[in-house]
Amino acid sequence: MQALWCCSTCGAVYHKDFPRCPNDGGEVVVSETDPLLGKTVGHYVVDRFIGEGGMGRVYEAHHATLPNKRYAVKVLLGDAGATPSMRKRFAREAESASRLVHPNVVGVTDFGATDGGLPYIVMDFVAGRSLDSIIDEAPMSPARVVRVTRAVCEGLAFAHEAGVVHRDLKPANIIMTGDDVPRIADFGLAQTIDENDVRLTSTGMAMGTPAYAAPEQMAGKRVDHRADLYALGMTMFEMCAGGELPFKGGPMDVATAKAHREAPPFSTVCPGIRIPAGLETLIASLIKRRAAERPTSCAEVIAALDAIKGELAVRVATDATTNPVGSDRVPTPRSRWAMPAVLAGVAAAAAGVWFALARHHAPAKVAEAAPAPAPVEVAPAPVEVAPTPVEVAPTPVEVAPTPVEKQPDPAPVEQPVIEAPAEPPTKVSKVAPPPRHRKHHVERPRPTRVAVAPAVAGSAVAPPPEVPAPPPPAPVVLHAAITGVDVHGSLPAADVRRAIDRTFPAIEQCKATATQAVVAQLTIGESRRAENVHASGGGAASCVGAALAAVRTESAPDVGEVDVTVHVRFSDRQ
Amino acid sequence: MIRVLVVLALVAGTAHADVQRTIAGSLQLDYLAVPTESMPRAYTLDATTVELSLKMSVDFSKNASATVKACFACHGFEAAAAFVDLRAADELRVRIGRMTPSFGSFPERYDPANHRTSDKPLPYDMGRMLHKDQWNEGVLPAPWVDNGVEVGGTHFYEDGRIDYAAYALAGPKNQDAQPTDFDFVLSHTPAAYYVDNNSQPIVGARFAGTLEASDFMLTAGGSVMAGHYDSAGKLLFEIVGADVVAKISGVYLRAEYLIRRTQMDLAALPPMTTDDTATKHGFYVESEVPVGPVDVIGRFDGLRRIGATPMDSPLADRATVYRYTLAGALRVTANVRLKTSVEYYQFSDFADELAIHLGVATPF
Repeated sequence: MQALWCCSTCGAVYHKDFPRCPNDGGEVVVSETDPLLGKTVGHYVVDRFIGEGGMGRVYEAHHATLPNKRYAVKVLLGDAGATPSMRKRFAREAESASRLVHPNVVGVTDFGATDGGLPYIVMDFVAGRSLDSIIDEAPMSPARVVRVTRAVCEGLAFAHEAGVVHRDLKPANIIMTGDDVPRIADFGLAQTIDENDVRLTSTGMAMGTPAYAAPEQMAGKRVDHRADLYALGMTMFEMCAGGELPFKGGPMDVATAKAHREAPPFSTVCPGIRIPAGLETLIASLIKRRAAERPTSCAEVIAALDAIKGELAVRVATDATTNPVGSDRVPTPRSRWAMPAVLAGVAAAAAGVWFALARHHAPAKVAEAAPAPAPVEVAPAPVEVAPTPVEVAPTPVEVAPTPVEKQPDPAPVEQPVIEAPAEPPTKVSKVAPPPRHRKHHVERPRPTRVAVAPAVAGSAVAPPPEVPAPPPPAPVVLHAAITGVDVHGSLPAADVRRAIDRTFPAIEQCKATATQAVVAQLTIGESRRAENVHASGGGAASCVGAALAAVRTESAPDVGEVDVTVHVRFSDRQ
Repeated sequence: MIRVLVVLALVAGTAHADVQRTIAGSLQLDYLAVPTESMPRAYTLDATTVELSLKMSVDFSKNASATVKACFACHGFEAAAAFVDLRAADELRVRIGRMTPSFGSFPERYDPANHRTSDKPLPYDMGRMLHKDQWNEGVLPAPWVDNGVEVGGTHFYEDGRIDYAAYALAGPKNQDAQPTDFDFVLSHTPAAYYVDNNSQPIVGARFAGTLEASDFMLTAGGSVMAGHYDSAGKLLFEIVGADVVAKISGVYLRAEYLIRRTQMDLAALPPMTTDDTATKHGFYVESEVPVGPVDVIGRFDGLRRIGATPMDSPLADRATVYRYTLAGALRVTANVRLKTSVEYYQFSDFADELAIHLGVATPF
């Protein structure tokens, strides 16, 4: 297994470069076992590690006194717990999700803190697969898309009625149970609609996932339930297209494209896949750039889905005698012009030949008729998915280095799984330090640490080291600030500064995981818009670059082009 | 008006920002050959010409700046800009001083460093076209620099912007006893920089809307300008212009149409002339396509003059000139461009001509 950086006092797991635990001052040491395994957290005994998200690690656990009751316990990462805002957000996640009890929502049953002070939430354990892993296999049939979407929509409608907006809906956050029932997980970005505490949204963690986030959300504007409808539309698009999304390119490309143009129609992106016109129209309406042009509610979407379902039912009834595959098969252009021949009473042998040809010419990934196979609960760990490991997908814009239309699959098959649930912590003086696995994190040499068995928050908490820990450092709250704008060219610098300032709300949304300076360069020419934007200097660079791509000046330079260098610093000082 | 200025000055004065100076300039050396003429100098400014500019802007605050720009060209040194820019918001900006007023699209890129051909489209020509004196240059030679006040602003919205401006300027000049058209030489004479020849300001305005997408931009605008140009302040002129600029994946498509209606002194016109107005139409359509390091420009432009002509004019009452241009601008380094163009002129009143430009231009 992969070794971990853990606090020797509270057992918090770290990925970033903390020499000491910001929560209790304990030394961060290397451990080859997860200190929580086998321990009791509140009323729950941690059995095994399942996966990890941006905020926490998820474990399968059973109730201490009811062993047959299984749960997924999500424990906040030490990195995430280093700031009060993150703790607040974690608590917000628990609070908002706990209000949602619905068959299509992964419920939150408990919330608390370990003895070491690490917050955790307890959720229903859902055996199944994340929707994105199913989407990757093949385009789903329209009938299945309608069925799954309708169920997701019911869960969303329930949340919206409760005043909760998910804000990070995506296939990776939808768990498909063995009965092919979707359950929405991870209300980690959830926002109460009547939220007045803007601090929770000003830390840059509310941008969602670029491929699915609504344009207004990526722009850092206030969002409502229609942002979820946008994400739902993108999810439907991907379900129909077998993993294709309308906007392609890197996060910056996607952000810019979403901000400035409508998504191309499904039939343009996937000319080889035919879906009912009603379904394409619904998807197009859901992913409209302007929120006002989208359906107004989940109820409206459900009504549209029911209408499509009715059309499909009629089609299935018509096809039933001639098409053994039924409605779960993705229609292709060939099937479209072959259908009249079938209806005209062409011989069954001819239909068989057509079917064979259609299979031969159909897209490589054609959905299977049956729902995704349900995993057996006793199957090896990779098959079972807890609600939240999906968070491993890179955090929005600023850290996702790969094209966003295909987020790295966070499926737990790639997660380190601890086989022995009750293994006690061991000394690990010669264990190689694990990589600080944030993709843009720069390693720095660390001195060899004294081997200290990390303590665990819970019933088996190890005593703290005898050496008194130094006072914990102040929690880190990173703020973006434009520390300089250098202008070279024929525009007054004030003109350019005003243009940069107009983009600051978007820059503020960028998430920096550590103090860093970002330097961005751009040029302004006849178009009066930023061109040739390049940003470097840290994990937030691409996010800052995307924000600055929206720079527009009032005037065009009248002598050559204007070169602009923008310095942005993320630090804990306002 | 004074109150507005006072408010703007107070706003500008209280704003806090780093003072920063920006300096920019450009240089163009161009050689014009007219192979179809043995003595082109009689019709244009052939051979080598040099144009240079030097501009400096200083921020007094985040909302106030001053800009000075000096140019040197065919008519010697000229103050191309000397104004103070005060801004209360994006939507309200006031420029006071000597400036190029907002009119049309091309004047925004008139500097040799900002357009890819050595000369300008005919509606905005200022002395580089063949038979320039007979045609008295274009409709509104660029840069049109004048003294006055301009109030304008920009309203940004999600998919674009709206730009607008209105201004009052000293106006074009003609000090002849019997004027029939603008005297562009006088209008650029330093001795007349600071005076209005007729004590009557001209007024003008521009309104433009822009749609923007990630790889697409479309701007459409309209401009007007009107006033008196003669010393007595009796002869009217009106200019109306429309312009469209589109940028599609790096390719620029531009088009403009200008019409100037100018009232003339009847005494300068042939006897029995009853209509004292002339209209001068000007247009251009061009595309600018980047092909590797070369910007390839194709342009079709022209002028048409309709109306009685002064008795010494070689032009007929209905005269036209059309020009076909193929040009290339090679980016040698980031800031140095070699420009070359071939122009074919079709005159209604003169023989057709061929002109060839070869030059180098650089912003710095």
